[in-house]
Amino acid sequence: MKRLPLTVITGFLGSGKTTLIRRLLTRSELARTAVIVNEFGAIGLDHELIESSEEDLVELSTGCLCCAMRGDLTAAVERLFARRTGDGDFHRILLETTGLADPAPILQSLLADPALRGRVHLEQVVVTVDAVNGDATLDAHPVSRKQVALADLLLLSKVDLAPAGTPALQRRLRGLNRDAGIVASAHGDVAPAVLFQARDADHVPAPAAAPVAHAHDHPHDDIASVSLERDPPLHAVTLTLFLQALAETCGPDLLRVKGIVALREHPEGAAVVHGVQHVFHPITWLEGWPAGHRRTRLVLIGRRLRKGWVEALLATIEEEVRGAASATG
Amino acid sequence: MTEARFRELLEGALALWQADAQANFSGDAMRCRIRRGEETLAVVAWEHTAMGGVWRIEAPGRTTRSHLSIGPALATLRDTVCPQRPRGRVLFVPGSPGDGAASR
Repeated sequence: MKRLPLTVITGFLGSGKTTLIRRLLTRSELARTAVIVNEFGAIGLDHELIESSEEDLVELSTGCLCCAMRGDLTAAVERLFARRTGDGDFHRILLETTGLADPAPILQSLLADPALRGRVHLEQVVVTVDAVNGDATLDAHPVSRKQVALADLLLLSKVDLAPAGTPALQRRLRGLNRDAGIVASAHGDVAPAVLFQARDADHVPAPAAAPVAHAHDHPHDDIASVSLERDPPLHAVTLTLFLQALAETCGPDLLRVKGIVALREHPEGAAVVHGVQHVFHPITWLEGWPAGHRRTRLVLIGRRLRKGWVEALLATIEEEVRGAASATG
Repeated sequence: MTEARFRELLEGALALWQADAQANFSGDAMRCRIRRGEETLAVVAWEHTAMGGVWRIEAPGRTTRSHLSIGPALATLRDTVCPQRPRGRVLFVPGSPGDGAASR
C-alpha cells in the first residue's frame, strides 16, 4: 500500500496553526486532505473551527500527543484509513499538535512506530511563529525554541500586525534553524504550493551551498544548527559510528539529524539519513544526487552543539576507520 | 589526531554536558587534566600505538580505562565527570528495503 504524506503543523499557543489549516482546507489543491487535531484540555475547540468532513477529521482531545498519547496517534491514523474507501479519498494528512507540544517525540513515533510507518511518511514539519509575540514567546518558553529548531518550514503568521516588520525575529529564527525556509503570512494565507513542494518521502534537506558557522544572536538560545559537508565519500561504518557517538554523547540534547551521505560502498546512490533525537530511520536511497553533485551534506540540530566539535568527532572517527581499514589490508 | 582537535573534542564535550569542570591542557599536548576547582576529576590522554590511536582515561579511585575509539572514550569520560547525566543511546529502527522513498 502506498504510504501517504503526513505534515506536522506545530507552533506555540495562539501562533495561528488552526487558522492556517482552515485556510488551507479552502484551497482546491488540498481538497483531498485529512486532518488530525490534537487539543490540550478537556474541551476541544480547534476541531470545531476546522471545516472538514467528519470522515476526514479526527480529534484527539484527551492529552498532548508528545506526552502520553502516541498510541492514540497510531489509532487515529488507523481510523482515518479504515474510513478510506478508494482512490477518491484523502491523499494527504495534516497533523495539528497542541501549542505546547514538543514535536520530537511525535516525529520519533512517525519514524519508529511500524504501524504508522506502514501508513504514512513524514512529509515535513511546519511551525507557525507569531510575528507579533514570537520573540517574547521564544524568550519565555523553551518548547517554542525546540519547535522552531525542528522545523522544515517556518511560517511567520500575523505579519500584517507587525508594523515594524520582522527582520529581528527572522534573524533569531535563522539563528535557531538556519536551514528551514521562512514564509510570511497574514490570516493564514499561504499558497499550498509554497508549503507542499514536491518532496520525496522522508525528504532530503537542502543545506546551504557552503557551510556557514552558526552564530548565536540571543543569550537564551542554546539550540544550534550545524551543517557538515564532505566531498570524499564516507565508509558506511564511519557513518554508523558517527551517528552512534553523536547520539550517545549528546543524549536528549541532540534534536535532529538529517541529510544525504555519499558512501564509499555505494558509489551511485545517495543515502538519506533521518533521525530525531536518538531514533534513526533506516537509510533510504535516492536514485541520483540533487543538482548532480555527489557530496555529503548533513544538518544537525541540538543544544550547545559546536560545529568545531562535530567536525572534530567526524574527523576522528574517519581517521580511526581509515586506520583499521589499512591495518586489515 | 592534532592538538587542536584533541582540545576541541574534550572542550566541546564538556560544554555539551554543561559539566561543572575545566579542561587544562598544559604540558603534554595530548594530555588533559579535567578539574573541578582544585580537584582532579580525570586525566585524558591520547597516544598513537601500533594498534592505532588509544584513549586513556584515569580517574582517582577508578580503574584506568583504554578505548580504541572516541565514542566509548567520551562515554567513559561522561560517566566520570557527569555521572548524573543521562546516558545517550541510539536506536536504528527496523525497516525493510524499499520502505523509504526510493529503492536502489
